[in-house]
Amino acid sequence: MEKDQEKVFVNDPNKTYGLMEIVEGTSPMAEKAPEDTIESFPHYIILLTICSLAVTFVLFIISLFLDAPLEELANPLVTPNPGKAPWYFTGIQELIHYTDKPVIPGIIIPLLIIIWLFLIPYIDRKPKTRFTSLFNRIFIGGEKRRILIVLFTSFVLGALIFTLIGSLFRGENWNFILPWR
Amino acid sequence: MKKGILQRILESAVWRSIFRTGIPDTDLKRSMLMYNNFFLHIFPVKMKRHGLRFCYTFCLGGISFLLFIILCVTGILLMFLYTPSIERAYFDMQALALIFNGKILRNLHRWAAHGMVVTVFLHMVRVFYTRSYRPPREFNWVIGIWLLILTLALSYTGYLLPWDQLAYWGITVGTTIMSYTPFLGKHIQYFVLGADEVGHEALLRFYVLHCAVIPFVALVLMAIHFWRVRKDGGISGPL
Ligand code: HEM
Repeated sequence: MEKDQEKVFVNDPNKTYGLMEIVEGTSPMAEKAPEDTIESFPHYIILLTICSLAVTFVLFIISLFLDAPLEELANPLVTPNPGKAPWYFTGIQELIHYTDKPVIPGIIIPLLIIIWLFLIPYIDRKPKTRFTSLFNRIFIGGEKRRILIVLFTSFVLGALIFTLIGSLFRGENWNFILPWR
Repeated sequence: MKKGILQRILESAVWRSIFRTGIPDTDLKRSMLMYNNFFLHIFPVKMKRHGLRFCYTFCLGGISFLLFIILCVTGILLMFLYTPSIERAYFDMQALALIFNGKILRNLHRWAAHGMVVTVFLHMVRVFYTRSYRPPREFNWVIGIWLLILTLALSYTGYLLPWDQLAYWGITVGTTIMSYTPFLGKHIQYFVLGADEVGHEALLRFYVLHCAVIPFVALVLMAIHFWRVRKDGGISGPL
């Protein structure tokens, strides 16, 4: 049974087929090529339960030992130094620090990245015309999509690095600090 | 042989009226169990063996959704204990620490929120590297990007609610970045905050967005997202 399912069933037109044998099995396989499927219950449900319990458990443990921060009451007159955005935006803040035109890293770059993310599935397609295959070669890098992978990986690494620097390695006046000092 | 207590319960009329299928000891009953259960019927009755491989999806989409549910539950409980006004919000937060398990409630909500930002992003990274956005899944990727944006918006609007220094200045910094938009910057900032700076209007806006508008939109998009995963033929195959 297991072994059979790994081969793909191809009907040979030159052969005739008939009932040869009745095999033990848990479900009828009539008119069905062997396919690599299994019952969701119990296989998937077990995975789902274990995964959900594990995540909930870990979250509980974290919440037991790590308290959410609550600083002083909000005070518009006391500006903290440095004032930081939530951690997922500190990467942008870090980029803004490098330039005196905040509109570029603050608005234009994030907007372009989002538009590019939206477009990925529409530019990485099988090229049909001469133009699209040229387009593909420039922005995707052929069947192996080398260029796209390089671009996406640099986006992810860049986001990671700048977010880490911005949230952990920046202190007063946005000077470089070491978080363990 | 005498019937055990478990079997008696499973065969009782009450149990059978709730769970019609009975003990799933045949494939047919296993299928019916998935098919007839309201919560399970969003899953297919049979799945590709490949789609269950942990190292393909890393369960990141599922974990994102689980965290979203945890956030809804803890968030609703928090709503019972929180007033969105600049006079009371901060002190409600302080009082929360004195309530039985109040601190844990807040911690769960906070860490699940940060966790969800991380898992949704990693889910996108997984989908990219497995190239799962290819036809027919292009549009599900687009919905996914919207979900990523909404997740960030949820987290960001929630950030203001404790009304402490961290919240106030975090939002001030963020909305200042928005005001850098050419031509429209100041208008966008005013639209988001309801005033020139972070204050009562902003707190109320962020509260409504955080507790009603964005969760609702996100939930609808998630429903479409899951629907499309099935309609597009389940989890994508290996590259
Ligand atoms: C709130 C956020 C999200 C939730 C709850 C969510 C949930 C899910 C779930 C449960 C799956 C099934 C497979 C898996 O677990 O990996 C899935 C698949 C998928 N998701 Fe998401 N997702 C979210 C955001 C995103 C984002 C940000 C993207 C991409 C930009 C995305 C694109 C996709 C695609 C293309 C699939 C099909 C993958 C395949 O067939 O291999 N989703 N999503």
